[in-house]
Amino acid sequence: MNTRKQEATLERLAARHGKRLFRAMARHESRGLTMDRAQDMAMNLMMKDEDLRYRMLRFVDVYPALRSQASIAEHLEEYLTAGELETGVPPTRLSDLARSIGRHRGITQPAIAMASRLGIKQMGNQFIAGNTPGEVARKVSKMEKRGFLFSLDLLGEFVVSESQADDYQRRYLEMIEDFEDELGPAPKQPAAGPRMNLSIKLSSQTSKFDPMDPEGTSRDVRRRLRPLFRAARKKGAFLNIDMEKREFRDLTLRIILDLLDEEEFRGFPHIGTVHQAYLRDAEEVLQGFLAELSKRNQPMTIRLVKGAYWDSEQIWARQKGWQVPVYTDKRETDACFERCAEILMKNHKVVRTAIASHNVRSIAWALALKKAYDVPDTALEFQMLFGMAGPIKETLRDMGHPVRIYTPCGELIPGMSYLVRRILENTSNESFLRQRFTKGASPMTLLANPKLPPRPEWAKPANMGKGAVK
Amino acid sequence: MNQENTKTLESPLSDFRNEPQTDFSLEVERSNFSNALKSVATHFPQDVSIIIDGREEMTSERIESLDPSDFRQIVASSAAATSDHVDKAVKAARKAYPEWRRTSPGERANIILRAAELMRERKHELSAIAVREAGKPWREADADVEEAIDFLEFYAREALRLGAPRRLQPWLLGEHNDLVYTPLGVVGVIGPWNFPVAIPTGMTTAALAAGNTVILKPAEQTPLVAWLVARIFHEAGLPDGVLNFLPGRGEVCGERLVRHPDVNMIVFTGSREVGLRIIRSAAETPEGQHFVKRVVTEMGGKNAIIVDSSADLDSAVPDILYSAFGFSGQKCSACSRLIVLEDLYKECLDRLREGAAALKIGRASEPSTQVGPVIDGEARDKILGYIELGRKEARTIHGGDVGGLASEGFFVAPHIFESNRGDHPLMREEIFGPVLTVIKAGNFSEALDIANDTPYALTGGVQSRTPSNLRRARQEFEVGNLYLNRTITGAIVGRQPFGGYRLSGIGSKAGGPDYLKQFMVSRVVSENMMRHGMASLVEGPPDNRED
Repeated sequence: MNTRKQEATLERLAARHGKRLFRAMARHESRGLTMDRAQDMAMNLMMKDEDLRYRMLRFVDVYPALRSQASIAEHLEEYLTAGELETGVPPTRLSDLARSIGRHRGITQPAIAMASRLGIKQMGNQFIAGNTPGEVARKVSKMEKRGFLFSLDLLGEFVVSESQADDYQRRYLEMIEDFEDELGPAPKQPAAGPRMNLSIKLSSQTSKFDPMDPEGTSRDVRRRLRPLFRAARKKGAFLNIDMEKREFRDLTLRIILDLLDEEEFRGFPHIGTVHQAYLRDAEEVLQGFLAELSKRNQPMTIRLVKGAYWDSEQIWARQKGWQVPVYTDKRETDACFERCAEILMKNHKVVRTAIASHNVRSIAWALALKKAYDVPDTALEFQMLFGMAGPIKETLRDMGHPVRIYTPCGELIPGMSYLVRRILENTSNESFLRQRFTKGASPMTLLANPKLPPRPEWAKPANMGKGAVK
Repeated sequence: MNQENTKTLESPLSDFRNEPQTDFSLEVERSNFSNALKSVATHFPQDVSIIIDGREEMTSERIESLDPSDFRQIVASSAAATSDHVDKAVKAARKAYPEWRRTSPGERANIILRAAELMRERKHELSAIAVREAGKPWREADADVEEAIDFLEFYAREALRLGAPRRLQPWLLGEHNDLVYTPLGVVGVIGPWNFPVAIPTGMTTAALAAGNTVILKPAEQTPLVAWLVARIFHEAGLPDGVLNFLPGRGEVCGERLVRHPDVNMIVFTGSREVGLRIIRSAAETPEGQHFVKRVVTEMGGKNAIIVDSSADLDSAVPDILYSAFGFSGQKCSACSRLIVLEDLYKECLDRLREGAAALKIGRASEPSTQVGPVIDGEARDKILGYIELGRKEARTIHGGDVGGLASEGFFVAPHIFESNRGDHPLMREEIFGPVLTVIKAGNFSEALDIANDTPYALTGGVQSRTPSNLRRARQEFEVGNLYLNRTITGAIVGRQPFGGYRLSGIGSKAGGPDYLKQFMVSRVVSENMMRHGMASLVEGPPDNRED
């Protein structure tokens, strides 16, 4: 029963945690965004100019397909100048610059190609841990030494063939079997399940992941999952089933339950999945899934996220004539995230919760819930993305909470859609990180309760200064 | 007609929205669709009658339509109209014409919108019949019915827009010049089997909305679903004789319809051979026929997709596979030629081959099916002939096998061939089946030349992330519908008005702003308003109709 009084207590607790987090983060923030200056500048430019951002992202997207210096320079030039035809937007002020690049081709092309290569490689390095298991292991070892946990995510091609699905399965299997051996001895860590933790996308385990055919899809996917779960059981590894687009959600949950209903995997302890709070029916679906878990007495970790396909979901829905399945107002998503967090933590005897957000208010709320519902330390962890939000990661670690870093690895070409999503996120107007670090929003504004209507402009406190890095 | 029900749409097209796709990720939609499949099958074989002047009639001769996925199952036993039936139907249409022409565009639109409502209520039932009668997999059948609903909604609004007289140069004083569109008379509609709901509905609706009366002759392979469409129109309140329904053989009743001196217009979607024959015979003006028949035809394509070296194969490969093999390649918009630039050639082909090998071939009624059957034995044999030719004269990149399905239905496995000759029959002739031919191009200009080297100009696609190539394609790729970085099939009413030129057809795009005018003639009435130097000095309202 969530009475008004409890609500007020939670709010007070959340506010207190939030302020404490901000104070602690200040110590880590002196380094600003964890990216280097050149990249910071590029990101800043993109944030200030929506048109440029769109053009740059399109260039980043095509970059790995370009095979020569000339072709890199030509594409950059084209993306900066051309465009009225396909986008309806006039060229930006940068077009003069790009035209002069065009005029001095011989001299500038190699330079431009080199600069783009460096820039994009750097962005890739920022968000993707590496290509080979060795490279990734070195980065992960470093993370572990700094007191963080990890979950690996394998980037790859969009699967349309059985051999691609086999290939994915093989890479997953190799990771489960060998990766931990590549790491050194385990440092002392907070108790949060197995050290080896791998995130799996079910759409990569079949050539036809089709929600219209749930039986067939479940059968195909489980055929590839079984060896993975057997290996995980043998090695004591944790497998997390990731979420993708909304159309796949119900089927993904169904496949998880289908697998767990097989005699061999009943009660499998080290399994997790994801719940996306931007979906309008998130609470209802979460309640339903928890009921299924209780019925089976099945342990599970649920990673609560806001959701990474926000733009795409809106576009797909409009094109198909469907109701937009996601909240279109960021505050509503934040509010739903808090309500889902409460559902999860109340049920801490049924599930472990992983709070995956960079938003300090969402994190503070989770800390408040932990206290209010007496959630044991082992039933809550925090998750953040590789290459983002350094200060809050370090702050939570210092406070003794398990912090797991979602660590993508793989080649740049197949990783492009992941990279573009991260850049989109880091430069989006709505992003917490941008509000905080570029716009210099005050902690009070950032800690506002998303479940209440926003304050009118005149009632907002004056910008308190702290926080603006640049 | 019931006056109160007449909708008054202020800005006719502004409130047009496409019918939403069925969301098959929802359990409830899946089970509704399965139930519809079960329930329609209980009526097989269903009798399909002729409808003339509102009266249903059977004939002793019958045409049987088979389930292409299971040719032992007879779906419908249809009447076979004779040329006498055609004469009777034309007479009925002629008789009903004056009254229907006088009916206001608003009232006509109202009946059409009611038909849209009825079709929406029976959406899954119609789709289920298309699954069984045309061998369309679930999503294809679903899209077929949605497109039909879209045509009803769109042309009803177009009738309102074009129905109002337009005062030309309204600032002029002392003279009124009014442009009006009036119908042509009796229209013969000859439909195809590949979009057995959408295309007959679209062509019929346009003719009716414009004020013509209609004789609809559906394809021999799909009479049942067309019959339901005709009955829905009647149920919506269409007066007797305005729409007459004549299932039958093309060479008997189609031929008579085309040559009938009292039929003012023929609108046809189908093969190039039949289309050209219709155009030829329409040019004849026998004694007593005081007009030249108007003809609108849609006749197919040999559509190409170009993949340049900057393409994103993650999206290009599924787009190509769907464009080439969706509904077994039996769409006039389907991709049958693939032109890949050297740099990406090998990688693209490898991924295509593996993707094609993973396609699930099966009965159209199974939700797991990605490639269903082809329409009939004749189509299967013709396609197999091309596959044989490909095996002999080209390199086989992928050739599948339908296994045991061959003894159950008209199945053909997807095939991919590689050719180095642009003039090979595989590269020139419309196969209308799951056969894709790939050719290598040295650069983008060469790719465009190959793409344009065909007598057809219907759809085309480019997969590229190079803005200058996309811009060139916009200007130089000779097709009626050009699709950049997406599939090249699945045009949506009002969003992608659809149709080609060259030998792909004559007439303007279906589902677009010019389509309805083809079913009308424009007339201008000029009246001198001056009487002994006296006329109103008030200007008329401004002319703001978008045309």
